[in-house]
Parts: sequence; structure tokens; C-alpha cells
Amino acid sequence: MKNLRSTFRLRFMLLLAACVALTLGSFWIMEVMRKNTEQLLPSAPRVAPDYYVENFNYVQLALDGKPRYNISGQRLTHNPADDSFDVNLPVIRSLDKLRPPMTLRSNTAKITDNNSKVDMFGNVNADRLGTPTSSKFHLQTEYLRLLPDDDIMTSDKAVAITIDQSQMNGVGMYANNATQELRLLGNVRGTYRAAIPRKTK
Amino acid sequence: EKADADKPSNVEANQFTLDDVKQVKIFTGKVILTRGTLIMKADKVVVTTDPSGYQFATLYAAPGGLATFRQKRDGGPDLWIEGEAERIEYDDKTEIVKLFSKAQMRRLQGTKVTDVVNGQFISYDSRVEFYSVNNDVSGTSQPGAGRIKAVIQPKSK
Repeated sequence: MKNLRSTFRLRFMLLLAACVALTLGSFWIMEVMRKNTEQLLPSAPRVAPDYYVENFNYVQLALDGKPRYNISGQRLTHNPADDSFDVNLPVIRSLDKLRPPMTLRSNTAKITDNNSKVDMFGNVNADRLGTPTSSKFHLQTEYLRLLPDDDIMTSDKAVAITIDQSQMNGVGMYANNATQELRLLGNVRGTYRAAIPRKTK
Repeated sequence: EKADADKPSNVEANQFTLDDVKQVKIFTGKVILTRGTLIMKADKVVVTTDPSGYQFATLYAAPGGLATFRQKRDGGPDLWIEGEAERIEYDDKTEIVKLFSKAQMRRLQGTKVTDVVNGQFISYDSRVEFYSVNNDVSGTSQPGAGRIKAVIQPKSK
């Protein structure tokens, strides 16, 4: 009879130990899981701007270290959600020595795709001074997309352009400052003043 | 008309391309070029600027169509001259209009055509209002290259 009780006690003790190990193990696993998920799923992704810079001047350097263009403005706000920037009163200047310098201004701008695309909104003005090889250029529109790295400007809105003495209006524009090429894509109106005063015979 | 020379020229078109390096401007699509009383219509106009700033325009007609030009003539209240051809070249410096292939030139009094000239090549100096007609696109008459037809109306007194 006695060893019956001792075998019962032994078996009971084994069972108890197993149960305790089981509960502790599950606690441990749950703890590990909770810690992991915390790193994987950060709290809701942050959309609100996380920093802004006032009266800034950002200079982009070319591969050879020379400045290619600079973007200055009254206020630059960073949006972490898509890593883009909103700029108030931006002034963009191309500083490339090889090409005639071009200056762009507008009310606001949005810089996306790590500075390779700049959308300018509201009273956009682009100015390029005349040089012996290229004409004086002034552009006015409500919206302009600038690709600073390829020196290309496009717009799908109405644009008013002054080249030396001639004034051109159109809807939709593509301008490549590198190849000095300009295209107006829709209903073009142009006015040419005779470049030189006519000697009437 | 002489006064046209100093007037600004206006252009309307569907598209416009400028190559600033070569100073070539190309207008395409229903192009209307006006300068004072001179009106030119074509499907494509290529304007090149020579270093001294004079412009040289070449008007191309749409395939099968004709490029046209119309201008008021001096020396009378309602005297007009009209021309059309497959290609028109207008030189701003000399103010000579050249019409190439299937060229026709009409002088009008109001809407009545006073005389008509047809040929392969017509050149018209709008400054002195003199035009010469040849039967070959090269600008000089080749024997046997076709006839020139001119109808000159008597002056109605």
C-alpha cells in the first residue's frame, strides 16, 4: 500500500513540475512576442511635419563639388510621411557656370523625390538674363514643375513668356535650359516687335 | 504696303518650338501670321533670325493645301494683293515674298480681281510692288518647263 502512495506522490510531483514549466514558458514567450511587435509596428506613422527651418538657403553641389543650384526661402517644412518639403516664398537659382543663370520665384513650392522634383505654385516667375549667345527670357505662370538636376521646366497651365522683344502665350510648356529648347503645347499667341528699328527707305 | 514694315508681327498657332542656340522658331498647326495689313496663313512656319536680327520666314502648306498671303497695296483706297503656293518664303530684310510651286498671285480692287498670274515660282517685292514670274521652282525660267499664265484686266476708268 505504501509504495502505491509514493508512486502516486512521485507521479503527482512530476505532473506539477510540468505544469509549472509550461506556465512559465508561455509567460516568457508572450513577453518576447510583445517586445518584438513593439519594434515592428511603431505607433501610427507620423504625418504631421516634424521640423521646419526659417530663412534657409540650401545649395546643391554637383559631383565635382561646384554649386549647381540653390533653393532659398522664408520657411521650409519637412513632411516625414513622404519625406517631402513645403517651402514658403522659394527662390531657386541655377548656379551652373556653363549655362546662363536662371532664377525662379513663386508663392509656395513642394519638393519631392529627394530634391529631384520641385512643384511651384502661385505667381511663378522665371527669369534668365540675356547673354550674347541666348536671349533674355521671362516666364509667368500659375504652376511650374522644375527638375533641377536635368534643368527642365514643364507646366500644363497657361504660360506667358517674353523672349527679348517677343511676347508668347500658350497653354502647356516644356523648357530645357540645358539644350536651350522651349516648346509651347497649346493655343499659341505670339507678338514680335521688329528687333531693330527699321530704316524706312 | 510700306507702313507694314515697322508694325509688330503677331502669330497664332497650335504649337511652338524654339531652339535658342540655332535661333530657330517653328510654329505648327493652323498658323496665322499678321503684320500690319499683311496676313499669311500656313500649316507650318519656320522663322530663322540672322545675326543682325532680321527674320526669315518659310511657310509650308498642309499636304495638299496651300499657304496663302494677302496684303494691302499702296496707291489706292482698296487695293489688295493675294498669293498662294505650296511654300512661301518671306525675307524680312528685303521684304520679298517668294512663292514656290503651284503659285498664284492675284491683284484685287476691293473684291474684284484685276489681274491673275500663275506659275511655278513668283517673287514679289512688296516694297516696290514688283513681281516676276518664272516657270520653274528654281527661280529662273527653264525652257519647256511649263507655261506662265497671266490675265491682266484693262483698267476700268
